Amino acid sequence: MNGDRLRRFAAEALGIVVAFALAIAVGMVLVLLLSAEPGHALYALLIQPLTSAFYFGNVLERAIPLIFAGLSVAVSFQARQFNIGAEGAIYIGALFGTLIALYATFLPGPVHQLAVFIAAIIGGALVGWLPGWLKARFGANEVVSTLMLNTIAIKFTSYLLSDPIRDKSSGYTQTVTLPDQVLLARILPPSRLHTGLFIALLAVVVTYGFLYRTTIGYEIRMVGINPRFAAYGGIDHRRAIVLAFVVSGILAGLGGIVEVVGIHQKLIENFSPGYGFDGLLVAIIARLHPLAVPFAAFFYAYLRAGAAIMERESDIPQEMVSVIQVILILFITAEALMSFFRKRMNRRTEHAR
Amino acid sequence: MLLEMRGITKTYDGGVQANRDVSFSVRAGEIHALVGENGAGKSTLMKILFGLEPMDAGEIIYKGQKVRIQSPEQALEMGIGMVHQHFMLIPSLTVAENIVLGHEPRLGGGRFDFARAVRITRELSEQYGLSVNPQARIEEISVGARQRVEILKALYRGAELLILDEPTAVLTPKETNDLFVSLKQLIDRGHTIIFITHKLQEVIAISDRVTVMRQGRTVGTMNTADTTKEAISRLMVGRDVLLRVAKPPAKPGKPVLVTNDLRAKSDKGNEILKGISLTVHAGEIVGIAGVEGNGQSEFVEILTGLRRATGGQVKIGGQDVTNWPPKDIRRLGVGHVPEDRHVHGSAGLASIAENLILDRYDQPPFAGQGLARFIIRPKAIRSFARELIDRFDIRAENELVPAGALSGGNLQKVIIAREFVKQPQLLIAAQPTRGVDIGAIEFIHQEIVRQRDNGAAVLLISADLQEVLALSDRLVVFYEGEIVAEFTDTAHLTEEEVGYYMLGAWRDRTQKGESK
Amino acid sequence: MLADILAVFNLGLIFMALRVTTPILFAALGGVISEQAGVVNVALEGLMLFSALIGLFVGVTFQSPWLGLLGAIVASLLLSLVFAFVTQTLKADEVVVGIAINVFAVGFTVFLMQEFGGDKGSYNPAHPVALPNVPIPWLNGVPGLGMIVNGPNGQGLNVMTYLSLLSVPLLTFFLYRTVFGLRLRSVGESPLAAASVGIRVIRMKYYAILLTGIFTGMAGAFMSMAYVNMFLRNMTAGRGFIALAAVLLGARKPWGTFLAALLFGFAEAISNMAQSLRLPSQLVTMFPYAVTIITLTWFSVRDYRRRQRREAAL
Repeated sequence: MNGDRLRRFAAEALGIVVAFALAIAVGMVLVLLLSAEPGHALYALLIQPLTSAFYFGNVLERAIPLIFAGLSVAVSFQARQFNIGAEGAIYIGALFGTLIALYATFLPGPVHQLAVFIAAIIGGALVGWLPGWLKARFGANEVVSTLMLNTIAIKFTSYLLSDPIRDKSSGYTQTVTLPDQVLLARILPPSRLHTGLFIALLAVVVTYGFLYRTTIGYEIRMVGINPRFAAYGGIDHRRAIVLAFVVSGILAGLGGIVEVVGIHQKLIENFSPGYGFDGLLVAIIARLHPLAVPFAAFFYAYLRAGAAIMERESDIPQEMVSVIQVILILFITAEALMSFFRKRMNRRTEHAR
Repeated sequence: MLLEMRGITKTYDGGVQANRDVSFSVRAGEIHALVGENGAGKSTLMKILFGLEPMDAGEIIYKGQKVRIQSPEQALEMGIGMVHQHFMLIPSLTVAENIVLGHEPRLGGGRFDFARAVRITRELSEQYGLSVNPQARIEEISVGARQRVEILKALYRGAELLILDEPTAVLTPKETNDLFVSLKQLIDRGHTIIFITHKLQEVIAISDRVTVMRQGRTVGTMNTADTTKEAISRLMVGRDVLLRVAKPPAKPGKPVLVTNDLRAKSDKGNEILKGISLTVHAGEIVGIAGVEGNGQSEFVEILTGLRRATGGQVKIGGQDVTNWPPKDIRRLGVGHVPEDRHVHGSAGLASIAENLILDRYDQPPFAGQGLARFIIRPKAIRSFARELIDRFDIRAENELVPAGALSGGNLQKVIIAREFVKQPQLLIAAQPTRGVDIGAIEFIHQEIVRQRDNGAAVLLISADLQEVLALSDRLVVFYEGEIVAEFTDTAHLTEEEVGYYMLGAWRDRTQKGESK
Repeated sequence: MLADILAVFNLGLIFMALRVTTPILFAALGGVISEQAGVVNVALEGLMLFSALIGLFVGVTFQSPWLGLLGAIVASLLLSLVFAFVTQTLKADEVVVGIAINVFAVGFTVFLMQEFGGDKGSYNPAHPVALPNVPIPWLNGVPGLGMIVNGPNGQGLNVMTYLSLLSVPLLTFFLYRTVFGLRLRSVGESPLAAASVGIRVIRMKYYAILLTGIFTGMAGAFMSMAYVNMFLRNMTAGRGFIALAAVLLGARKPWGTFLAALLFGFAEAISNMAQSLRLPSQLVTMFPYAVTIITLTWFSVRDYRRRQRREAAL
């Protein structure tokens, strides 16, 4: 890496690190104020996830859906489309995949599993395509259409789970356990960490390749950076926008089915506690770069897992981390703050020269 | 004297000296025309007067007192109002609401007194003969009416001295006439007007005195009655140093670009191109001279597929390409240096390399073939970029630096490199050297001539008269959406002569090859 | 079946619908103010949730629902101030910060419940407080209206419901009849033009965001001190997003937004009775969202056509 790039990277990184430090510091202050045994709580939050394979497995298993959702958001935000429909695509991807898992049992094992993923991809693509097409064709506001689609997707899934595909022998609104052949293997028992992690990491590489190594990715990024430049160069911005939405939907849909066949092994009502929105925050922390997404997701998951341990081991409930998360996001998105770091960094390097 | 500005000096952050020791004075009750080419410093001077820009040195004396004007509100308090070229109106609000906005008449309890706003508007409107419908929404009324609203807005705020920044640029001839009648009425009521314009017949028609600016300085103030359009024009365009570009005589080949009676409307809906017929041959540079806003930008946008023509025809290399999409036009071998390098020309957050492959990222060697045609090859792109950085002398650490981090001249070279390296059959260069340092200007000029000598048809559009004169083999002048003059022998053409047409002093006397 | 469905559509349904519309309407009217000032406020959901819990805390502590209402409003204002500061002063993206505030509110309310109530699922105070229902007995004499206002059991609509209905004309008046409203709208439509006449754009946006906060505070207070008299984890359950939809469905105007909120309220009311109908409640509540998408599309197509026509006419 050459000097100029390094400097810019360092400025960016410094800003993010300071934001992290501040956010965690606020979290620590909260713990100190509220806990009778603050040292214990902080140890549980920050260190304990590293102390056993089980805990670490928890961190990684929580990171998987966040990676998918983060990638999903990163792709459409790079096209400067405020697509917040990842949550809906997670549900529809999970639903389509589950339907194939439940009813296409006549397929041989590996084919069946593949079919499940393809179904999830199709489901995600459809949910992504609709608001994308409405935006590109008619200029329909994507924030609203995706928010609406989220709720429709969740309610539709709930409806199917309430009766048509429900496991009637169970007291819960969920399906029966899916056939073994479509489930993902557990790799770090007793944690639920599963091979979906590798699918997620593969998705990171593929998304990076898509955005930075394909013509369509180039089109998407240029439309995002400067639509008029793209138009001047002859790029079809409508196509680029629709494709960004579709790819975004596919990634979220995959995230949905991976969670189902990896963690829950059945489709459960409201199984996503807002991964789509968490994904948005992950993508923002990663500054929309696919290769940074797994790190941001890991950090996010680490906090959540640490918080869960803290809750068991001390008197602080795990939701305390939502304070850390929001402070982090507010700092990172505050353009004024980040550009302050960029300027400081530039000034310092100028002095150095 | 109502207003005296003395020794005004202003240098912008980028180092552009917009005003150098400018003196300017206005008498109470006159219409004072302020004229000058683009970039002569008129707008800066008026921005300083209206409190939009601070000055580096100089003093302003208004009504006999030395004043400091630091904000538009302050200017308004003193009685100085400005009507901007781009209207500052709220489309969905009514005329009356727009006029009183910020200083609204009130009923008790913070209530807005709409009835009184309407009454105020009606009274002002009758008093000054500026007819508007107070209850109409801005989005429903014509451009001319919107301008009247802007003037009334300034009057409502108590403006005695009114600055009008190119008020006729967006008006039809009829609306211009109406405006002039109203301006006369304003004077009768004791107001004073500073009128910025490019059109000399308007200066003659409306002003009492005229001040000419050139290259940041005032070069003369005279009584309009004692001068002529030609004299003003000479003052405006006269230049100390003449730009010379060494170039062999052109050898025009077959026609590459042919437009036939091309027509278009502007974004605001007025007719901006009124039938342009122009041919550019291979191996020649055809220059378009003209003050900005006379249809050149729209002309280029149509040629490159960024705007729809409402009539007429464009042919490139014998193909009818009227209203084709930009991609297909580019594929015919058209290079386009856009007039604004930030708006259209570049993607600031993308790297130099990514900026350089804009119209060829999906073609070999940058993309694969067959199944691999969607795959981009970063190595090929980077080596291509390094080659261009070298060949076009782009000063950057390397090809991965974001384009937005480059200086104006270097960014322009990136664009020039992208558009020139493909050896286009038609090269359209709009304002290719605007805001670029001297060294880069020379380099860009040489490259343009080289393209011509390689057989490209070059269409050059520039507001800089020296530049078009120095580079063009043939020259046409755009004025109000029409070609008002064509010169086939540019070698002996003078700035003054072109200036008369550009500024509308002379028109409709298209002469072919009969310059002195 | 048909008879069953028709049986639901009685005057009692209107009473029910008005009740469930209340929080949506409050939040939506708040959203109207932000939208009119050009602020995209997707934080409605989080503001409502946060103020519901804080309001209840305050109310229970002082054993006064009115102080609870005040507490809810103050809580909502504080969080709105954060939103305003980060988006307007620090120039962060409104959508991103709004989502962040929603995520925060869900987590933080659970945190507070656990810390101070000892339970993560609900905060069910031993001595709950409630904003009163206000029956109007003499209306019982008016056919229809009595049922609508006083309900099947004669308990009457909640005081907040009346207030929410009253807010519609009040907000209309505020936006369209006051100087402040005029300036607010001008800032939202064309910040440059507004600034050019000396209006402080950022300040106006702060005001708008804070006013929105007052409304979301009232919405939250209704949720925890009227709709039910406790706090449940994530009890707003997407009502903030419904409110946002209502704003856009209502073309950002108070009366239109009122009608849209009412549509959502009826859908919810019907779905609450859906068991007796043997209609899947999820499908019934899905309906207004679908309507919103279709309407949004229709608006966009209309604008698109208009643009096309204008171009064609040129």
